[in-house]
Amino acid sequence: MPTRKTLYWLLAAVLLYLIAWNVGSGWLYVLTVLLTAFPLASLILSRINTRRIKPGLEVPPSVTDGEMLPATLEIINPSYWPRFFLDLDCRYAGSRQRLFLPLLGPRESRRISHVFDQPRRGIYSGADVKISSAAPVGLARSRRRLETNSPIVVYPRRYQLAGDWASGYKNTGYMVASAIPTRNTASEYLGVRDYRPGDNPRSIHWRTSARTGSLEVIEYARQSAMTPVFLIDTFSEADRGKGMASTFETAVTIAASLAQREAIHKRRFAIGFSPEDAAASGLSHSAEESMFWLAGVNATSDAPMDLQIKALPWPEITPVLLLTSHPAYARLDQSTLLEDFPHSIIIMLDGREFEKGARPRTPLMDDTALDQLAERLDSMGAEFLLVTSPDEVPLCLNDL
Amino acid sequence: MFERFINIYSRINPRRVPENSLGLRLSVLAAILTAEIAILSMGYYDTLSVLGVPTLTTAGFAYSWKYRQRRNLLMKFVLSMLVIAVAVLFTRELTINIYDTRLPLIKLLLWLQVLHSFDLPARRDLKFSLASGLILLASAAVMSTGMVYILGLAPFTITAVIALIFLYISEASQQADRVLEARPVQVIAYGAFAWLAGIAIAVPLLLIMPQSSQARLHAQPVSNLQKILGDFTAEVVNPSYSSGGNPFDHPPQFSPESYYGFNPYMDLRSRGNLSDDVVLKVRSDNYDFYRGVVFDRYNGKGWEISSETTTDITTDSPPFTLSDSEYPVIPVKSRLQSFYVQTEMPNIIFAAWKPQQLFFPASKIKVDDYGSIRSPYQLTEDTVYSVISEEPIFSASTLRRYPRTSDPPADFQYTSLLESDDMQVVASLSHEITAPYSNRYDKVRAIEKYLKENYAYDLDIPPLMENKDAVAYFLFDEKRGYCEHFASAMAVMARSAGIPARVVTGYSGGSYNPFTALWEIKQSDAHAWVEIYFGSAGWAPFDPTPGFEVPAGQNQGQSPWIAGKIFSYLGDVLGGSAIGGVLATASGAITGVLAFALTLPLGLIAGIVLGMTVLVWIGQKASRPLLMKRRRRRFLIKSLGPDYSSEKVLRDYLKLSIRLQQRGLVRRPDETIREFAERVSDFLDSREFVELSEMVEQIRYQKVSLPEPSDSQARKLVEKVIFKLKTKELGAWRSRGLF
Repeated sequence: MPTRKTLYWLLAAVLLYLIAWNVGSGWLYVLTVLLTAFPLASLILSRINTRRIKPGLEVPPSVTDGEMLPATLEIINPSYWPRFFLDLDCRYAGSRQRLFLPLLGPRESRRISHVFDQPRRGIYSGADVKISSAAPVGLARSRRRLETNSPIVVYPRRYQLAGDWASGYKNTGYMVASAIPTRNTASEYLGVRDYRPGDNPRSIHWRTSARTGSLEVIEYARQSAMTPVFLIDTFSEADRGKGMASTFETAVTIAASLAQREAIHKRRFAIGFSPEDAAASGLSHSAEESMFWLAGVNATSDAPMDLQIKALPWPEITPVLLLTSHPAYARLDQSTLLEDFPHSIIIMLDGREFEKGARPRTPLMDDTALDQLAERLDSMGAEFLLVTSPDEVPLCLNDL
Repeated sequence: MFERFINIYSRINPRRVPENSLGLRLSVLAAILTAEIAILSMGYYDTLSVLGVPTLTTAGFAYSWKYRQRRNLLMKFVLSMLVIAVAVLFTRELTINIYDTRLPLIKLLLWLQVLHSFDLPARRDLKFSLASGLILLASAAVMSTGMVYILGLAPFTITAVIALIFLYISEASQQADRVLEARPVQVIAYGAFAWLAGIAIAVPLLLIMPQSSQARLHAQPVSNLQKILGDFTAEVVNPSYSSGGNPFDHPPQFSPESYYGFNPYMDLRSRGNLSDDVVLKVRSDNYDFYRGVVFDRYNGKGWEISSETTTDITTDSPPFTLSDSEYPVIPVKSRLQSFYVQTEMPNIIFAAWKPQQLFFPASKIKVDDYGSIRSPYQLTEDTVYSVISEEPIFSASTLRRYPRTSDPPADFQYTSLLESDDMQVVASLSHEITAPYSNRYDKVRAIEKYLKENYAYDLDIPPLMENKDAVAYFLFDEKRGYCEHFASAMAVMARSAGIPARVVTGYSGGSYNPFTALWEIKQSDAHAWVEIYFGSAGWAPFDPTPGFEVPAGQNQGQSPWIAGKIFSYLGDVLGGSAIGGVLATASGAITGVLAFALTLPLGLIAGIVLGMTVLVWIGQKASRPLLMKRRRRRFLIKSLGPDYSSEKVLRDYLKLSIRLQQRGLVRRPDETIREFAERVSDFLDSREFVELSEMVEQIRYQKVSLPEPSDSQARKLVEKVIFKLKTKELGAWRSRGLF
């Protein structure tokens, strides 16, 4: 198709023609014709130039987000006619590379080594290659869009975490819970102690309190199975920030890091974008499976995570929720999931910090709401962690 | 204050990214130099310009290359001052000759180009330079009077194409993350190919381009004025012929380099062929006759000029005002002609009748009683002059009314004849021809027609016999001859009938060069015709020579199509060769077709063009589904393999797949046949397609030969699927409320 330069040329041709018409100079007509002919020739030649070109891309089967991705781009010209001035715009795995190839000989196959820096998490079937040419003189451009057959999985970025979950039973994955009676969990009677603010009134032992004259509560040692179920919020409206520094990507990184640790320790875990989804995929200790899943998950859901579960196949799990501070989760503590699993771990990403400088969207929870939620979750026995930037992640995870 | 000025100046001239491509700079320089040389070689400018402009341009490019990284504020300031100086010089030159502003303008452009070449740090500056080179070349096109312009045009286009290629490479390299190398030879080779491709398209475009035959903006070019001190002879001086004594007492002279009619006499005994050298190039809207010398006294062997009286006209600067129009009763049309003299010529200033204003490079001229103009010196090569003539538009109906009885009679010499037996015979012939007519115009036309129809134009005739009257010899003995024999015969016959007549020599219009838009007049285009007196209507021209028509009074506009003109011109150039004949025939054919096309009403032509465009558009749209279908079919055939055609089941599957594609159900590249079938079945809510796909899989991949009824079974499955598709569509339309 014509470029802006073409329009200038044709304008000049029209102007010269008008001058020639009025002045009566024969050579000016010749000049006008030349000015018109070269854009026309460019339209044809540029179109011929991009025909039958085939791109190919050789890549490893997988790579991790942020790593360098070595690749070999192959451009094949099956024609007997050479190709000139090819602009190649190769987009692959979130990375982009532009090449200019002055000449591709007849029936030539050119292999170009290249490194894609900063490939982005995802599962890709091939590169999107735009071949364009404005040969010979840049007056018209022809474009073709092709795809290569070069699948790759770009696993999410993950941190190597030192230590393990805060528990005394690393190998079995048990931890001591607080003295609050819960459903669906086996509890061991520990004794009676003084009432502390925040204790559930239901745990008050009235007989002992009447005898001692002060409030006494019954303390239970809850046995919780540290089988984490990582639940990643894919609610698109909650995703704040850009690119790899967005809340969703940070959540995926956190989940990947934690899942990797579980896999290293050969512990089982589950992962999903909702409790039902995690239940459907089941428990696993395969890092590859989970990384594959994490590579492909995207924040495309129209609704917040459904935490009003009816039942899960595992009575003893620890849900690890990765959420953004969206108002939809302001009453998270009142969900059925938290009711059934009050010792959940909630890792909340403060979207306000992640989207600083961007155009404001739906308002997120403010400090007061966050504090209140944290307090309520704490009183339930849940662990609440607020992450305000991707840089904090390693530190926060090592504290978990 | 000074610092503030520097700051402002710096802001006006921001630093630009320097262009480091040497190839680009060299090719732009080559293009600019080509354009400059194309103009400077035309001979219009002084030695300082001719040598200085290209040299300084090259120096400027070198300077710009070396200091491209610097801001060069001081140089920019100096250049600004020089631009002002050049503008002042231009204004001064403009006032010297306000009738032709082209030369000062082009000079201004040239020196601006020189100054600009010292400030070309960035790619954008080089682009501007190339554009200004194009403007210079266009200026050269306007000034060019010959085919030699192509020697500047061709190299410019080649260097410009190469410059554009380098420009493209430079721009693309800047945008790309990585540039793979190419050898410059490959780039230049591709540039040459691109140039050829452009020319291949340009040639047919040129042939169909309409060209105006009339200029709307006029300049009156004239070469440098020469002051004439003292008097000069008004007699015609022709350096190719010796003068002195009575030429009719000596053997006749002939020089192929100059027409013998451009003398104080015209010797009808002269024999020979004039050369085909181009003597004049004329810029004029129309084909015309250019008048030179007028003869009024016939002596049996030739013609002489009876009156030696002339009028002096002087001027300090052009133009000369020759006379007021003496055609109060005849409509006139103003015509501008510019003459470019190509060789040494007699002291005759040729012009179309009747010249009113003359732009001639002399301070003094003479005009004789017949309206012919004499130059104070012989015309030399590169003399340029312009004439504005008021050409009378004679028509038969007008001339039949003249002369009126109240009109003054012509002078005696225009009706006088020799008294001889030969003249008596000529007179009786004249009376025989003119007897049926009472009107002077009709009588003259009768004589003209008689000569055209009964005598042949022939350049190869024997010498005039001694003691024979030239006109009588032509009319009764030889019956063939040159144009001056025809003109002499007509003048004598007209005088015999009592009609005042005189013979005029000059040049016919020549052949039109569509490239230069100039009429090229050869020596062999020298011509003679007759002027007849019609009282207050003046002297009207007639031409009795076969193959010639008087252009005066007729609007002999050119065909607007260049193709016919090019073929015609090439036919003239190639002359009598076979190719010339073919080209001349082609020219006639093309002109005829185009002339017919032009007679059609504009609305009809527009309607035909519009109708054809619409038909093409409809055809393209209609053929698109068919082409898409074919493409899909080819793709599917490929994917199924080469043996599909041998299996009816596979063919049916193929046809069904095409139908599914039309409804948006396309098998993805990563989808197997089985997966696709499942998807389609989900959509159609039936399993027929799955069954069909299983059969296809068995044939295609398992190489299993299915039992005989498989063909009919497959056909039934296909029909069911199609029925389901249609039902699905109908349902969709119903839900959308279309049924």
